Amino acid sequence: MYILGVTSCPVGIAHTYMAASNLEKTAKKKGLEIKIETQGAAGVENEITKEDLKRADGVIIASDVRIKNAERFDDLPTLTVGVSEAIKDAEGIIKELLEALE
Amino acid sequence: MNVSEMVNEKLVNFGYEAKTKDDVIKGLGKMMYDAGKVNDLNKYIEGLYEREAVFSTGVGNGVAIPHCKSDCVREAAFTLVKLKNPVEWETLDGRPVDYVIMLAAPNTSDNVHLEMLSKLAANLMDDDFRETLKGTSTVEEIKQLFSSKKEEE
Repeated sequence: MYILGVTSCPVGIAHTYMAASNLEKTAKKKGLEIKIETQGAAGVENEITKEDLKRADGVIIASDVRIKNAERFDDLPTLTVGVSEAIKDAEGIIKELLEALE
Repeated sequence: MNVSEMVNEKLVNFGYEAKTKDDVIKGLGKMMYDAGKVNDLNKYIEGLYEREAVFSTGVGNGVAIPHCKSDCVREAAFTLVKLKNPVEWETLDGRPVDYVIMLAAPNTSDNVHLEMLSKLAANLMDDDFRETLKGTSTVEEIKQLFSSKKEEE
């Protein structure tokens, strides 16, 4: 199982990174491979590559703003949530994605 | 660069007295101004409220991270303020806030310092780090905690 994610928030200095950290931490705990791209004030970091897209099973977008290059994920099952949701309940989000993928 | 290098004694308090969220935002905004991190207090406070209006910065577990990115910020900075009494704040878990990390980010492309703020925010998701930080009572302890976090990564 390989999950991709993008996090972003209005100012781009705090919530983006908290959400990314929480999703990574939670996925790791569940033994899942995950890669989160952050789109913050410092720009795009940990960018998702074509290779990532090829082997990904699903995508989590946790954002309150329009993310860059969303069309990359057109062919992948994608769960979209608010950035706060990923800070509050990463466990629930990952569970929801896994259930949708079954 | 390490986050511990950005810890500023003028922005640390271990028993800040405030009754409301407004007290905290205005008081800590002033703290930023007095420490020379912000050159226009009104504009900074306005920016904080604008950000709060999008959605509240109470991120749960008693922590709030009011912040804004603005021309009026001279250099990136953060407060580490323990409140003497918890205050009501719209939070993700409904719990009141007793620790406030206010962030100030300049409108520049100075990514190094922005990254430090972001790293600090991300570390707050680590339960051990957060609870240790909330339990600190000296600036030295805080610096030690931040330095040790760096080594782990």
